[in-house]
Amino acid sequence: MVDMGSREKNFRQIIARSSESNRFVMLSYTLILAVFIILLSKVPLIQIFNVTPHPSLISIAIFYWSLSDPERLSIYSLFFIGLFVDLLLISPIGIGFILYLGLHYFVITQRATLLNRGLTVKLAFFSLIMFFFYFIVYFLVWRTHGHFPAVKTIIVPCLTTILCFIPFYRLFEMMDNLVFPSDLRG
Amino acid sequence: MSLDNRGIGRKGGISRRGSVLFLLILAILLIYITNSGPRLLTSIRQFTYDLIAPVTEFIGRPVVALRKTGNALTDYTDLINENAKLKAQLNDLLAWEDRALRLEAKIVRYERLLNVKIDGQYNFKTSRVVADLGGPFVRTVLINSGEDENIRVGQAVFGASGFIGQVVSVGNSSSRVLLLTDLNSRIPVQLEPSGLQAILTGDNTNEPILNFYDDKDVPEKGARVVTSGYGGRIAPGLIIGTVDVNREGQPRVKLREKITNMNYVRVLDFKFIEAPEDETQLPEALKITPKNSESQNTDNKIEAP
Repeated sequence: MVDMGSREKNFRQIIARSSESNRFVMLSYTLILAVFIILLSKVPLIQIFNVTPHPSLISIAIFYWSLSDPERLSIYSLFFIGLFVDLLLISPIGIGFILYLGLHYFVITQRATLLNRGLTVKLAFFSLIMFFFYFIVYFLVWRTHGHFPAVKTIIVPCLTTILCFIPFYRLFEMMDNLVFPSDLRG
Repeated sequence: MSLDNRGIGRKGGISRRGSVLFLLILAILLIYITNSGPRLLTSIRQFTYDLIAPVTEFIGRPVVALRKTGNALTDYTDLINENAKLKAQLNDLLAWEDRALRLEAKIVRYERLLNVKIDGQYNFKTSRVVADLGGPFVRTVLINSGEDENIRVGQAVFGASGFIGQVVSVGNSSSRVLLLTDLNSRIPVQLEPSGLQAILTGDNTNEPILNFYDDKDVPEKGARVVTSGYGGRIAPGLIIGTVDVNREGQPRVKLREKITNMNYVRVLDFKFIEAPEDETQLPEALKITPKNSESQNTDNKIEAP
């Protein structure tokens, strides 16, 4: 009986360890992917209405990760992502984290509803959040620079991000299925 | 995949409430601290740029190739029209060349007659644009030259055909260029031929605004806008663009350089004439020391009757 008990204990420990290592691999993969996505959105692109669009691909990624597996993003990962974006965007450090935390929170509160709905509903929800966030950014620019920027410099990136939502959401889904088949995700 | 809302506030979710609260407070504190722009933050940012510059350059290669192909295709489809346009332009330019050569000879003669000391020549370093760091807050680009190539803060940056901005931070192997279109950009300019002085202010659009000019003179549409060199940072006479007045009557500048498709830029090295020291040392002969100043003062006193 004692032997059986210790064996079961060992077996459970092995499962727990493998699950922990899976989590670690997933977290590392998520962070590396996040950095890559942020850098990708900084590559010089074309201009629309004289404004470089710079879609916030990382927002789409955070939306997808929060919806598919909320445990995948720890608060510290979000803090790191926000910090990195702020460093690159020359925006006041901390704003990125607050916005991404908000996005993550909004998605989590509506997760049960969103998971059962199609991509169109997800897009509508994402669009609403993006409009709200870019509206906040518009005022933050005024707060930090003393005057409002041209409206199109806020509208164009916002619309581009929304336009990029479906293809990139699908892309992240495909990448996840390739790297982590569903039975390994836990 | 379970459908329950795991996340903020749940054990094993995104984090515990304490961590969220702590990081939120930290973020708000950071916003206030970094708003004043401490030097340490600039160094951290520049260090990050040094790290990411090679990566973004690598990631950007397909985009650059795609853009080049796109441009080549557009050029190819419009070859006949372009050829006709170029021929017409060439005829015009031949006349201009003749005029420019005559004027150049005239200027050289005048300069010799007047013994004028002219500005020195510019040296420049060509660099590649590796990342566009633009966002709602700033309009900057990252170039792959830094301290190693003697790039310094304040140096003017030129595109293929016009002035585009200035270097604002320099790392070992990369530098950040603040574009003319940025909200923080203020460049002293001069309008030609009127000579009107103004400040070119960015507003994140591709057509910066002309501000602080003399109210008596109105910037004329089509006037050339060049840097004035006032302030002692940016070399004078660098072409920026032409004046364009919008519907609201606001004078803006149509930039000569297309900020959209910049692959390479030139960083100009221009040495300004050093200003004299604050306390001018007068030669001994010119120094006037008041002798017997005390006695003079007493002499000048008017005694009360």
